[in-house]
Amino acid sequence: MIESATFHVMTTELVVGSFALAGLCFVLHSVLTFKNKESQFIAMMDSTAHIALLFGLLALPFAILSGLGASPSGAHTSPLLANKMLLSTAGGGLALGVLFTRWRMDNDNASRHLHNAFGSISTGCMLLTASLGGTYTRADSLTEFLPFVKENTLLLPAWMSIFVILLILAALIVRQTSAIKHG
Amino acid sequence: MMKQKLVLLLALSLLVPLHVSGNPGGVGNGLENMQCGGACHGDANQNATSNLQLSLQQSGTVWVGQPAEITVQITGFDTSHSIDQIGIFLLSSTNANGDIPTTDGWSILSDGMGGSNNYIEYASIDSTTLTHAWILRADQIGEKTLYVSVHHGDNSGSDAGSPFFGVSQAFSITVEPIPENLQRINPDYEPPTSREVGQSTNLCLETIATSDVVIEWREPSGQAVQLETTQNNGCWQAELPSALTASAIEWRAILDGEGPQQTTPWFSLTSVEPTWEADETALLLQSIAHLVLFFGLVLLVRKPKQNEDEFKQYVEENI
Repeated sequence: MIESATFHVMTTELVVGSFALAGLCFVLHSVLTFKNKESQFIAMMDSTAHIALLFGLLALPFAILSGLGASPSGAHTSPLLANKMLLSTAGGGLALGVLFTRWRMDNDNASRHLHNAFGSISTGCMLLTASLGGTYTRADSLTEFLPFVKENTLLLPAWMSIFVILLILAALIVRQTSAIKHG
Repeated sequence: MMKQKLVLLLALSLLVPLHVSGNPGGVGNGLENMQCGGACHGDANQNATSNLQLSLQQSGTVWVGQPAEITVQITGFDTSHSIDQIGIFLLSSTNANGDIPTTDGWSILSDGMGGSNNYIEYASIDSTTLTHAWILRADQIGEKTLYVSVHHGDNSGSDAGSPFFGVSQAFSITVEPIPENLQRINPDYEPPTSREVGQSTNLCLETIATSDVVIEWREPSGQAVQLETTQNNGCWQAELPSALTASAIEWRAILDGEGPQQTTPWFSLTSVEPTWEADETALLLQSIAHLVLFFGLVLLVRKPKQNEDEFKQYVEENI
């Protein structure tokens, strides 16, 4: 039987590879749009970014669950592990939103750049999460210059998390009903 | 031209060999097979052979079911080597897999660093010789074999920067049956290995065929201090004083009975700063909140798709 830690390494590599490719394509998409709107690479970057993001997003739940299984004492016993969990869900949320809005948003330049920015931030979250994993297992990573991510966590009380979830869901429902009325 | 230069730069960057530095921060104390010594560095083919001399010795007779001190000595840390961190393995074989002593009838009671691991790390080396003791308990009578293995970096010499690995010869340990009436610790007794700073420790030492017990404690290699020991509910009780800072103390028991006086090895007790812990449910809820918040954020700031073009097209077609 494969151990959780081994499975976590495999799924993490899938997530990091896919998200890194997606992030690069989002950035290049914006750069190419700035430089030359007629470039044939623009559509290519757009498709690659979203397909890579989808692939990374599919592997993400496996990475999170195997990561929780690989930790002997749980994510709540280390600020570094807690940050990993929070960053990965934040990145996952952004990625999910980016994929969801891809064919539902306006196609003007500002919207496209904002969309690419969200995609890139999502990649940043995932790469930082992976880097924290390096710090946890090897005590060494590329983000050693960010000590506060290893030692501090901004934790919300349970009631505030529930409030945030309800607030966002309510805002989404209001937005949706408003769009239907005006559509 | 610019494009060609960019492709050339990317191709060249892929050809540049990466600097091999293993795990410069270590992997942390744990239960590790020898395979980690070859592969924790990433690729066993990158290893260089360590020149350190490794030896192992037992302290006195090793009785079955009783704690025994196994001391490892590593020499060769001279000025020609620049070693700042070292990982030491205590192994029962060199199969590279399944060679933790616990798989060969040993229990690790103390690794001398506040845990019960067969692999420990020293963050710095202060002298030319490093001595470290494990407290083991053999659960079976007979001949057993132990090995010492090390892995480390070395910033000097021809292989500077490479991960180094070394393993000792086999050291034979004879585990003997314990005489019937010899005073001894209960074979099921597990000594505490760590505690939080500011906490005192109540010892409750269960013994067999023992008429009197004296418990002593000391700072590592310091003067021993006797504790008041009382017998209560079938165990010998004493209170070890609390530590004011993260540190380690050692304690041992001297047992009297029908046989010759028996002295246990020095058990190490490490005091650590209180561990960080968050509310697990709150953390889980916050993770869900992050997912919903950032998903919602992307949806809420997007500008909905305009249907103007379709409308214009419809109007034009019908005029």
